[in-house]
Amino acid sequence: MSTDHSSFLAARVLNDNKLVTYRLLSRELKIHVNKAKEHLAAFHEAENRKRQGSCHATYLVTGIPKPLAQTSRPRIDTDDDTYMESSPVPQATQNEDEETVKMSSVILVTEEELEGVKESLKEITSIHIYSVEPGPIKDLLTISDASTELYSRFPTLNAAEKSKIYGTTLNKYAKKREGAPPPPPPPQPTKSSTYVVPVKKEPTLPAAPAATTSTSTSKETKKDVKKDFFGSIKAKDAQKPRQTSDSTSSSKVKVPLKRGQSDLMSSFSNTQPKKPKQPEKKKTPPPPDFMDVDDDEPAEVEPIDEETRAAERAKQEEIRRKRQEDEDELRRMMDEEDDEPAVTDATNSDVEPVDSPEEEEEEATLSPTEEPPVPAPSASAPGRRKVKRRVTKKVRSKDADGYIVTREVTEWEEYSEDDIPAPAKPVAKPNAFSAMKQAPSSQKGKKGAGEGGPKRDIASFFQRK
Amino acid sequence: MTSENLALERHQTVYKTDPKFQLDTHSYQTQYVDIYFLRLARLKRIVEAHGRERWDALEVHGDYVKRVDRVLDVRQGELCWITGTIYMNMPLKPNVLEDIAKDHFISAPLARQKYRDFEKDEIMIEDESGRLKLVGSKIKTEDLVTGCVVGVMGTETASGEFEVIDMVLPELPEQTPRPIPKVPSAKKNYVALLSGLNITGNVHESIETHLLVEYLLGEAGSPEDQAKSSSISRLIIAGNSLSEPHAQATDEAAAAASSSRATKSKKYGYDATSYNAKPTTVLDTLLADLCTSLSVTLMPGESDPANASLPQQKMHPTMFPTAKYYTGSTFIPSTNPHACEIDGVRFLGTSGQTIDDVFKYLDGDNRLEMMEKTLRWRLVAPTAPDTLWCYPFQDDDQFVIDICPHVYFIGNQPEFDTRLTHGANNQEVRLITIPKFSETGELVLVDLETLDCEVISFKSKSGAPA
Repeated sequence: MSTDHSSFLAARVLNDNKLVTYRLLSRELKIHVNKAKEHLAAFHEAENRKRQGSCHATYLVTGIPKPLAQTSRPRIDTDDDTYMESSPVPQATQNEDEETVKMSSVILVTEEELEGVKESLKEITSIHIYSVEPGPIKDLLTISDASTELYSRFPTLNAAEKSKIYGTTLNKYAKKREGAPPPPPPPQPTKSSTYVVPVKKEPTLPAAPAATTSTSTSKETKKDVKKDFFGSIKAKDAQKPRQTSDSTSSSKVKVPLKRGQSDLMSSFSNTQPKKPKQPEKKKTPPPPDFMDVDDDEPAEVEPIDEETRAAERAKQEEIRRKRQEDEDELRRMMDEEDDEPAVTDATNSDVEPVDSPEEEEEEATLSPTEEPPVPAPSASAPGRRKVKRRVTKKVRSKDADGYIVTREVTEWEEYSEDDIPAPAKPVAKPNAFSAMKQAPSSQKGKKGAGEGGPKRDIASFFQRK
Repeated sequence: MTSENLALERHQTVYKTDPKFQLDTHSYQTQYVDIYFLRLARLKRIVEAHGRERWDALEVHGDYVKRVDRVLDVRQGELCWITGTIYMNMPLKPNVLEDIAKDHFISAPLARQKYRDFEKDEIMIEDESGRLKLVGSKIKTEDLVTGCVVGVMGTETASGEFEVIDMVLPELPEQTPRPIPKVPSAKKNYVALLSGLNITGNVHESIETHLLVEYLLGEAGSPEDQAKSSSISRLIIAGNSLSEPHAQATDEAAAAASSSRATKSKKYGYDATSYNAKPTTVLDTLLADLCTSLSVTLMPGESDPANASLPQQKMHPTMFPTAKYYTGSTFIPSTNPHACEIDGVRFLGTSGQTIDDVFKYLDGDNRLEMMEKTLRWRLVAPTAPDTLWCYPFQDDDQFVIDICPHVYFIGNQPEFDTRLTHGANNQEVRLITIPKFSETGELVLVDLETLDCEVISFKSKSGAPA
């Protein structure tokens, strides 16, 4: 054990010229923080015995400051003007109360300043080593850097584990909810839960088929969620440090390893089911789990062949609707059983497979056959069916006062089933952001429909072939 | 190398949030006048009770003091008393019409520290019938702000003004007795109060913030320190956890302007690329760390991403992607004036805007005095619709204090200060101004048993000269 920590410290402090705080050491070696402090102190002493000044330390001093500093606390006067007290007699109670206020300090101090700080304190409760670094540090910000690193590198454990391993004060009632979205007390923010759910579920969904069982225990899914949850948040920050942590202490670091695995798994399972479906596409459509991503795409339209595009759109539309239904269902369940995350998890895994690969495949084969997205059947001609549909358009105009006014106008528009069902998309999700982007595209659609004749004929000509 | 892993356990307390300041609807269609009406309706009865107690059967020069129901019914030369809402007509107060006029000037005048101007200010009392100007030396020295409901006794002068002789306030509301154990328990039970973390995320987070987190988690310090930290049952963060957003925006704007003016693409409206998620992610990780061990109540403040008008609603959980998983157990996002009960001790507090605004009306720097005043007016935010943004309440003025708190705290104040204040009916209130942590590094602990305060300051001292 002793070789373990001293070799780690030597590698990090002396070879890498890095700073090690007691917290970092405790996380790194999975030991109690107080133990880590002892290790640091021992290391510091040993190194300095070997070679004076080879190792530098900062200390954390807690204690009670000398009274003179507090009784005459300087009044902070932020403004230049002085306001005269209108009533010259301050409350008598005020003074006697102020004496009861106990002050204590927690001071982080470098080796050199330690004595000075000790003197400034009336009573010293404790002094312990805070960090060890290769040389005197100019700026304590480097320590804060190390503390930030701590968060990006080590997963947040649950309360019980944390207190057992690191000695953090235990709170039995601190419970991390697994998977369930935050409770939506006000009615509006339910929207947030729709966003949260698919993102959260993403890793579990592909994992379930991989495990070959729909009876995957809730515990298992929970674990996955946690790991990927961490990974997804810290993905950016964690990338680099993870490598180092793996290399330096690969033998006993259990959690980072596991996490890496799950990342790998989920990233595979994320992409794999997608691939076979759209082999001819260069631009892969966004994964169905991110609802708001696809709002961005109608802006740029590449002239690929019309049929596949139409099919693609119809399919997506279908998927979206399905998902919407699922989500409504899900949300309903969530609302009912908000307090029991385990149960919701179970139900989720039941519900979720609905938009699993097979299902989507089925839809994909279905979609090329005609299925008007928002059919409002009226005036159907025998030969070529003419269908009307309602279209919501944004009309922007300048009003009398010179303000630009955007109005939403719904109007009926005639179209034939051979037509590209392009404008069906905008109806799906009119949100403020996408509306802006959709405005031009829907106008384009209108123009095409208005001009009628030749264009459409050409399109249909190509399609029949 | 002793390895006694004495697992410290967090002290637990029962926590009940008062949902008073939660808004169910967000309709801003209505007028603010209703607030004054509702406020007067609620407080008039109380003020009148105090007035009767004080002035009934009071005889001055053979005249009995009479109560007059409406402000406009006051007869000249008649000794009487009336109740109504104070309105301060102050030339220095911000004024929308003036603001528009100022648009035509080149530079706007600086925001004022104080609105008070003894020469020009007019103090008026109003009720549903009308307004009456108050004069007299008594009213001049009295600390008053727009919106407080008072009762005044005096006579109308020849010029139609009301000369004030005496005044009553609603005074402290009733207080439910605090559970005080017969035998003082051996273990302390603290609630920690904190405000103004001002996390920027720009450079490195200040080391003091990390020390704070480590201390609260019970990792820093000796076993004694850790034991003390474990007796802190909850933490209330009273606003301004994130720093003002504009500081970074202007930096970036300046950088962009200087570096490449030509290549700057034209963007209309909100530019998503300029969004900096760092402050929230830093706050989130810190909160998530804290929540594993400590219950944290997070109140929004002036600089936090919540609605600007009082009562500020809870910060949205999506901003805390990791900490939000502790909602329901240890993570408690709350409203800005926040009222709760911890082990039977009633807390009431704001993130500072209320007192900062009252400060502009009143003379002097004594913020505890101002806090006490707001309690005696029974209003959390007396200046609310006038100079402080607030929600146009329709059914009830939520800022009226019904139950006297035991601890009344205000966040983001220039310095820590505390004292007890006592009411006529044995009410005892601990007033606390919480300093900004980013400036002072101070954390306030309140002992739930004795209501005594302690301050822990977090500092760092580096050897090399800065």
